[in-house]
Amino acid sequence: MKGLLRKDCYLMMKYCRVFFLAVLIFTIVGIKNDQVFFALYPIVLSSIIPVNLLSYDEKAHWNSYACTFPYTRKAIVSSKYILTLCVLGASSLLIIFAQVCNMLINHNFQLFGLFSTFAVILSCGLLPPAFMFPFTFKLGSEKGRFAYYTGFVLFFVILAFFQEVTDNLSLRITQMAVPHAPIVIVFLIVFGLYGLSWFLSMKFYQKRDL
Amino acid sequence: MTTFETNALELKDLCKSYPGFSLDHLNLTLPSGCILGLIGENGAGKTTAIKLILDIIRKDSGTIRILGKDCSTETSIPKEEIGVVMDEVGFPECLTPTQIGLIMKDSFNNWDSSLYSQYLQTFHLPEKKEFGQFSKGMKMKLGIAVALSHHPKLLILDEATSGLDPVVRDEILDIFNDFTRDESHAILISSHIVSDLEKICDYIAFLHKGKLVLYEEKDRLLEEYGIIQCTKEQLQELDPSAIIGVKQTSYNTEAVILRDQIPEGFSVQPVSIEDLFIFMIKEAH
Repeated sequence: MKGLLRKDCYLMMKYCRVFFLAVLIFTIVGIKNDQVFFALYPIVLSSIIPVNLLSYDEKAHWNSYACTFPYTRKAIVSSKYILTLCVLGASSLLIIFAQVCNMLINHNFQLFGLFSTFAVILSCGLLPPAFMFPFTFKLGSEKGRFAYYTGFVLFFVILAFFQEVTDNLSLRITQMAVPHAPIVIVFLIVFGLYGLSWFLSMKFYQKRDL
Repeated sequence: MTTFETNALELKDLCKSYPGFSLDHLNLTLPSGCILGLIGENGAGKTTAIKLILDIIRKDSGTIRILGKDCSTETSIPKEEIGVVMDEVGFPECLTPTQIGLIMKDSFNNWDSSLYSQYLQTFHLPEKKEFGQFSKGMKMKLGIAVALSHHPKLLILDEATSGLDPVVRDEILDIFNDFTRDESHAILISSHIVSDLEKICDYIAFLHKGKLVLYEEKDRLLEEYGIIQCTKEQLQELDPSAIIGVKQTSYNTEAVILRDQIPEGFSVQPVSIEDLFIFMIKEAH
């Protein structure tokens, strides 16, 4: 799997520099602005990176060529999930760092608020790929991308719904009136969904003719 | 004392169906130390057979043994010992040969970086140029370099010499020939360039519409079959079972025949594998 991850790193360095730059810019802006948008948008951008990499793989016909190397199909699938976790984890830490700076500037440091923020943004980042990957590994990256955007739209529909029904749902991270316990539960559910997605993708990919 | 597997590759009753095409009970054996050439027209099933061997597509039925191992599951295929060159080398366009070498080093236990560098030099491949900027021939050469640089025992080549100029093709064929000097090595090669296969192959297999039409030692084929030029009337005098294929021209009739079933008096010329293939397929049509 090391070779697969190395290959994806090379592709990221070549094709995803704009995304990294955008993540960095929005994160830096977030230092002075604690609107949840500046935490969510970088994580959404980061979650697009694996989608892009899958498209480049498909364009190069890498998927069938990779089967001629000593990788199992499980390893090929797992490398994408691990890469996604690493990219989103790194982006989340960067965003948290910006929020720490924001809190320190505003003399408003809240440790539990930070954990909640980390849980929320990582959950938001993991959901679209968790939704998309099984479609991609079963049907190809084009249909997978369609599923990704569908999941993406669904997420914002849900967010808009929560805003409608919760009068005091602030969009300021430090003032989010959402108790910590539900956030932890949602975080664990999302991680469970990611794990289920991983399992399904392996099952689908093992049966697929490439 | 080193023992080698008797057969590098054994396919028994291998079947795969698609709408409009089926690979029908393919039986092939590739002894160690030999080169098997797989010939067939477009859509005959050559690439399908190769993809089934590598588990890129799933077989409907049949068994595959590679280097003595039963390959019923994905993990049982000894990919460390197989070098593959497909008709399309599937590296992402942005990768350079140097990066590809590092990826392969992380992929294969037996990766030989110095051998890889040697092949890059032999094939005049620039190490820092992106794969997407390579010509078709250069891409194929890189694929061949990668396939050879982890000391495989079995090479599987699907149209590996297509897109190469004649000089380079000749060099590559020499490399393939040298590869099988080691009795534990073997090559399965499919190609439209039948003359290439005729140069290096020990065994020839003809595929037509998913069926194995012929599988024989190359030298025996060249001994058994010949080509005659005669009139239509002379052809009609011959035993039909001796005639493999016929081509009518404005001037005469050409026929590929079984030498030992032709009466004396006919001038039988040597037949090339390419002619044998063309006549057989035309007859099948």
